[in-house]
Amino acid sequence: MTTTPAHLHDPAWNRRITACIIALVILWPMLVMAEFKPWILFDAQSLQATWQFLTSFFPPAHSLEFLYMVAYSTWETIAMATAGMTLALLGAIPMTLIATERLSISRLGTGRMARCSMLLRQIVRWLLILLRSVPELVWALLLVRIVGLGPTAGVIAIALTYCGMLGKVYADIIESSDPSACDGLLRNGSGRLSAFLYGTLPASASELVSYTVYRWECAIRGSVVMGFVGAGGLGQRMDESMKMLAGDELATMLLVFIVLVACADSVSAMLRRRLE
Amino acid sequence: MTFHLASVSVRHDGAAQSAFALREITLSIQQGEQIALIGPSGAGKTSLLHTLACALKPDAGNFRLFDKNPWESSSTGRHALRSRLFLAPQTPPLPPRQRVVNAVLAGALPQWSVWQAMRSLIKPVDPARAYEALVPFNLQDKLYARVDRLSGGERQRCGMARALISQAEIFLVDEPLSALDPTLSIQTLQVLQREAASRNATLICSLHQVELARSHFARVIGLRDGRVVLDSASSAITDDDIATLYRNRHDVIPESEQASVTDSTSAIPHC
Amino acid sequence: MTRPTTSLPPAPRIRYSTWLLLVILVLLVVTSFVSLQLKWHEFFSREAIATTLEFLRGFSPPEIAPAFLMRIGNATLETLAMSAIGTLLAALFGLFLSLPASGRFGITARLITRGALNVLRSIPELVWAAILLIAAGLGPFAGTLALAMHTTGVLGRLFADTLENCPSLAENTLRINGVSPASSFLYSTLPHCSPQMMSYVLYRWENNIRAAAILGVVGAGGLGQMLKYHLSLFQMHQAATVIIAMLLLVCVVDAASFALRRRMTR
Repeated sequence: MTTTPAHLHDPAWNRRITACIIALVILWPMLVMAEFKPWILFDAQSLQATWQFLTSFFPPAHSLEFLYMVAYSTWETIAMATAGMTLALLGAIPMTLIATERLSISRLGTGRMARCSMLLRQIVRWLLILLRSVPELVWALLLVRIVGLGPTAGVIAIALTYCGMLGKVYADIIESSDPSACDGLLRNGSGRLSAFLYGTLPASASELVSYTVYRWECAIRGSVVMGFVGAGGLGQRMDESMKMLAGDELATMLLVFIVLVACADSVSAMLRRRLE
Repeated sequence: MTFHLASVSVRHDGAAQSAFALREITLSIQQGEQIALIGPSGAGKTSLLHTLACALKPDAGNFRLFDKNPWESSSTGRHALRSRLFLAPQTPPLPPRQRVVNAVLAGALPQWSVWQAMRSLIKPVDPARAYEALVPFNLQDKLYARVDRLSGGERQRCGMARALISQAEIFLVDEPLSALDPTLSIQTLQVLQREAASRNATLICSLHQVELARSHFARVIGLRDGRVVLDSASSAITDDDIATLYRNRHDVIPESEQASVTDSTSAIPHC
Repeated sequence: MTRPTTSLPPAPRIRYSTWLLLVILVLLVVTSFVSLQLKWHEFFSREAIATTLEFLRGFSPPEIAPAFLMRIGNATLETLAMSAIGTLLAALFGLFLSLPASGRFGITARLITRGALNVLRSIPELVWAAILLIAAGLGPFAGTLALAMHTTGVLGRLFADTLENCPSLAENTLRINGVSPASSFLYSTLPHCSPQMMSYVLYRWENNIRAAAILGVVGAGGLGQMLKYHLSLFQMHQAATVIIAMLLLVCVVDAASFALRRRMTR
């Protein structure tokens, strides 16, 4: 066997072999921990259960009474998402205005912010991070125990999580926009809010609104998920149907949900197009 | 007869609504010929090369490659024919993050199966072959470098190295010297011509540097507005012919910029 | 002093459709609040606030007994494994489905595959988990599959868009030179698009770790299952530790993903 001459030796080969070995060493225990046994899907009992469940999907439930209930639950879901987003906006907008460095007056001319305003900004930022890091479902689980079952828990959970998310992204959008307009107004003595309205907002408005519309679409999906822990809406009905293995009801609700998401998608795309 | 075109007309992109890129082209090319293609921008040089490479379907006329009409055979037959051609476009078709060794060995892909191709991506199957192809272009040290770390001229020569690896009998090269300085241009041209001569391959090369075309190629074809206006041995071409070809256009590189053509190692075959 | 009465240029009129949109928006918000019959007074009444504070106080101090921490450690690793394997499976299937979805096999295949990918990604991971419990049983396997299904839809579409937007010069040249479609894909489009695709995969992993943490709520294992269990038994101290573990896990994965993405785009 001839050895490869030095100039032909592939420098990436050793790295690739090592990376491969490391990946396998990590992959094997992970597969074990995730109880990854695909053959379970194909054993007789599981196949029969799956088959029975899938066949129960057809025909989808379509009694008038049921459809009326589904329509009501769908509206409940949309309402939860909209109400939650509105509250989130009511919280996020002031918090963004406080947290953004663009509107800092103490930094004008000196380049450094006053101690207490910097402290205040940091506190608000950490609050936003905390609100955003706790998954909304965990908020929903806790709130259901405080305010009881029903859409209130869902609305507050969305409001809290999305307040954090919106706050952070608004701050990012504002920080990455051109500072000269706002700076100019502040230096000439305008108030903070006016400087924001006349300086920063015109530049960032379309991006801000575009992200908000996208988040509203996500909120609709989130509301359905929260229904599974008792927050009402389409999700709770789905959970109930699944516990009773009523495949036909589940099929209708899934179809309605997919159509709902597609509609929200196209409405959101239409709104975003109008902004440009 | 390698190529025979009789009154061939080709539209841009082959679409029925586009304007004609080539009008009533009539040409015959023997195997082993080395031809330079010249003409102002927009004359149709790239379209002609693509037509010869069976990448553009003629709208009218008779097009024969190796004495057969490739557009009358099946799609697989045509594809088998394509592996006997090598088309090198003006912009080097190299993915930015690929390594030079893989980019060059891609010239051998028509002969490889998919499994071999995949294996070579994981570990290059024949780095020695790629190395030898890069030596004439003085790029052998960049064998394992990434394409996006090369300069524009190095990338262009890398694309030429692919031609050396391929087993094509016809080289169709579009502006191979656009990113190279005059000395490198001559060296690269000589490498291409040497390779074509050693395989008795046909070499058709489109150039903007008219003086290089006249001094290094035995036959010159001039295109203007999609028609062949000049087709003769380079010795028979006069300066007036060139002036007529480029009349009212300013694409010719003036003589003063060309380096002297007295290279002893150049081997210009005569057919 | 008299001034000539010159008229100002007419002010631009706001479009009719913009007014309509604004009206619809306001209507939507108002009807949402009204129809939900939110129990505001109940939420802000004295007793409610007292109960809430009592509830929140019950969380501290978080439980830190070693045996319990071991269980938390196991659940964390289980959650991490779910998210990693789910994302990996989704990357493989997503790549596979993105080939027809980018139009390489014709328009019909593209429409069908894109439709399938849309369905996969419309259904949230939790709903998938609830459905898959029937086939896969309780435990993290259902959670892994649920993540894989949803993320395949997301990644498949992102990959398809990347492949469609890839400049085609390199691949076309190889095809013109007689290379088979498969090999020319491997040597031109794939190396061009793979950094962007890897970046999407890592970004989804960040998202999936959050999703994996809560899938256990329907019985799919991991930290979520522990949280539901302890909350339902009103064991608040243990629940607090679980939530803190979730937050730490999310932080660690976010940092790892960010570092990996930086390394790859160097």
